[in-house]
Amino acid sequence: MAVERIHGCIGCKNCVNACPTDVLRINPKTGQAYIAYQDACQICHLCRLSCPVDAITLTPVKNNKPAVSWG
Amino acid sequence: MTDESKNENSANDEVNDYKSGVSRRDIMKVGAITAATLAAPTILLNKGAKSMAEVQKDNYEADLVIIGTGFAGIFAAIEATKSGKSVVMVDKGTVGWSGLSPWASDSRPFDKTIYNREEWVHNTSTNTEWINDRKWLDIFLDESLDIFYELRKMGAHDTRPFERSSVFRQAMIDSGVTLVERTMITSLLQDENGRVGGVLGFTFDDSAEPSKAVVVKGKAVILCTGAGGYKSPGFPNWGNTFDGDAMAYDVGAYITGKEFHDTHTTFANLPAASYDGWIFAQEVKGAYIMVGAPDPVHGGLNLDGALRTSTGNVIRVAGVGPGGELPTEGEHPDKAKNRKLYKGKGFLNPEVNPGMTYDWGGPPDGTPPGGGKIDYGFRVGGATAGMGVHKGEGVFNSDYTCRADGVEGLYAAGDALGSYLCGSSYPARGFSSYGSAIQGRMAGRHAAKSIENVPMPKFSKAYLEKKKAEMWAPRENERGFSPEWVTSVLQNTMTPFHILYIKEERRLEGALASIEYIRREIVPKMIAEDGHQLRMAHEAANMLLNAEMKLRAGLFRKESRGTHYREDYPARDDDEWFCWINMNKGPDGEMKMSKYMLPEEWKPTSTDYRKNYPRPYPGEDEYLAKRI
Repeated sequence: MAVERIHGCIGCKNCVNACPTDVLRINPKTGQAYIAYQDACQICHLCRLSCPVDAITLTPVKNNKPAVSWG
Repeated sequence: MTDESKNENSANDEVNDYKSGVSRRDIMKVGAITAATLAAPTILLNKGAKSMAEVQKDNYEADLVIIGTGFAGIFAAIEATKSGKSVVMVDKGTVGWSGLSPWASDSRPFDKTIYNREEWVHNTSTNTEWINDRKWLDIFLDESLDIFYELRKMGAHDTRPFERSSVFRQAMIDSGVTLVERTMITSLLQDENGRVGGVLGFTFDDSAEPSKAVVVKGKAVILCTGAGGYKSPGFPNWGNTFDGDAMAYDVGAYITGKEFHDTHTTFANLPAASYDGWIFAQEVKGAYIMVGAPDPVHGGLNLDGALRTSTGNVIRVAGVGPGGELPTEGEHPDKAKNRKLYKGKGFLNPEVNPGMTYDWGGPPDGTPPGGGKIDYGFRVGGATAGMGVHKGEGVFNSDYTCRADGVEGLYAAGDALGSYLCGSSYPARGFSSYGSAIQGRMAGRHAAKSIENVPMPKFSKAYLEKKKAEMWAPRENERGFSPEWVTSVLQNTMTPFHILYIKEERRLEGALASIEYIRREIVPKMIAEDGHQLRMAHEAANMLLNAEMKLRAGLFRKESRGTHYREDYPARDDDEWFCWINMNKGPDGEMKMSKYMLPEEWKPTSTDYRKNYPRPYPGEDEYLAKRI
C-alpha cells in the first residue's frame, strides 16, 4: 500500500529523483520505474505529482500501521 | 573528478589518530566489538553480506563542499560562487526535492514600509518564550524581503512548491556548481589538525551498478542537511535523519536545541497519511505569503494546541495548519483585520508583485482534510516525532557567521543550524524557508571568506580506508539486526506522548537507558543487504544519537518552556534556565551538557507572569503558588 501501483511508466525517472526515501528505482532491463521499497514510502505524493503521465497510484494507508504518539 | 592516486600519494601515510573518544562510526566498524563480548544476540543473517574492500570510489574536489540542496544549500551555493569559489553539492535526494524544501508552502517576508518592527519582535519573542535569538530575528527582518525578490527573480514564484526543483536546478547550473546527487554522506573528513576538509559517503542506488564510495575534498564544508524526525508516522521528513548533527557532533561541534519539539499533527484513523491534509498547498504558485505579524498567543506550533488536539478536544488555532475543527462561517477576524491594515500596501501591492497568493491570517485557505469519502478521523499530535523547532536545533554557532562552534572548517545553515531564530516553539507559519535561505547565504559568504589562505586538505590512504570500513560495516556484517527493526524499536521507545512531549525524570531516565543500550550494543551489529538498507542503517544510527540528545537535554532543563514540558517542573524559571542547552562529545566519548546563558535584556519585562507567558501548562499555577 502507500505508493501502490505504477502503470504506463515512460521511464523519465522523475519519480525516482523526487522520492525523498528511495522507494522507487528504475528496472535496468525495462527502463521503467518500479516500487522497490514500499515500506519506506511516507505517502508524500511527490512521485505522483512529478509524474508527467499520471502513472502512479497512492493510497492513504500502510501495511504496517505506524507508531503514533497518541493512542 | 580528481586523480585519486595523485591526491592520496601526496599525503603522508600516517593514520590520523588525533581524534579521541569512541565515535558512533567507530563502533559500527566490523570487529570493533566481537560477538563474544556482547550479551546482545544477533538474530538475522545478512543475505547480502559481502566484502566492500574493492568497491570503486568517485573523487571530487572544490573550494567548498555543501551537503544538502534545499533552500539553505541553494542560497549558500549561489553566494559562494558569486565570490569566485568552486562548489560541489551533495544530496541524498536531488536538487529542489531535497529535505523539506519541496513542501515549503508558506513565507512571511517583513516589509519595513508597512509593518511595525517592534510588534513583530514582541509577538515572535512571546511565542518562542523569549529564548529566540533576537539578533537572528533582526537579520530575518532585514533580509527576508530580499529573499522574496531573489526567489521571484529565479522564477520560483511562477511554480508550485513541487515544481520548484526545476528552478533551483537551473540556478545551480547557472552558478556552475557540480552536483553529486542520490549520495548519502556519512562522515566529515578531518586533516591532521582536526580541521574539516571533506566528506565521505556512498551511492545507495545499486539497481543498475553496485554502490560506490564518494569522497569530496574542500577547504570548508557547509551542512545544509536539514533536521530530522524518527520516520513516524506521517509528516514528510523521513529523508531527514539528523545526518548533519551526527557528523558535526562526531568531529567536536556543539549541538543545541534538542529539548524542544515541532508539533505537527496527523490523522487518528490514517496516521501514515499526514500529508493528505496538506496536499492542497501544492496547488499554490509561489506558495502562500503570510500577511502581518505572528499572533502573539495562538500563532505557530505550540504544545498546548497539540495536546488539546490529541485528546480529542479539537481546536482550530490560527496559523497551525489545516486540521481539527473546521473554519466557522464567514471571515476569520484576523484576516479581516490584516486586510484592512495591509491590503495593496508595500510588497503586497498586486501591481508591484502580481500573481502572489496571500494568506491574511487565521486558518489557511484550502480544502479541509477528510472532506471526501475517506474518514481520516481527528488530528493527533506527533506526526513529526523527533523533529525540533525549525531553525532551533542543530549545530551551534555563537557569532552569527554560521561557523560551527568547536571545530574549524565547518559551517551550517537552515534547519541544520541551531540558530534559535524560532526559539522554543515555532512562532508562526512562514519563517522556515526564508530563514534557511538567509542563513544559507550567510554561511556561503563567511565560508568563502574563511578559506582565502587555506590549502586543499590532504588525507592519507590509511585514514580514508579506515573511514570507508566504518561506513561499509553493515554491508559486511554477516548477522545482526535489521535497520528496520532498530528504527521500529527507536520509534516505540521515543514517540509515545508520555516520553517525548510530556516529560518526567524517571520516564526520561528509563527511555535513556534503553537508547544508550541500543547505541552501544545494537548499532554495531546492524546489517544491510543492499544500498538501500545501508542508508537506513546510517539513518537509524543518526536518529538514535538524536534520541539520546533529546532525552539528555529534556532531563537537563529542569523547567518547562515552549514545547518543552516537564510534569515535575511545570513552570518557566527565568532565574535558572534563561539559557540554551548545548552538548558536545567529551574526551572519553561521553555526551557533555552545558548552559549558554542569554543576555539579561532578552528577558521578558512584565511583572505579570501570565503576560510574559500567556500559555499555561497543566499544573503550572499550583506549582508556582508552592514555589513562591
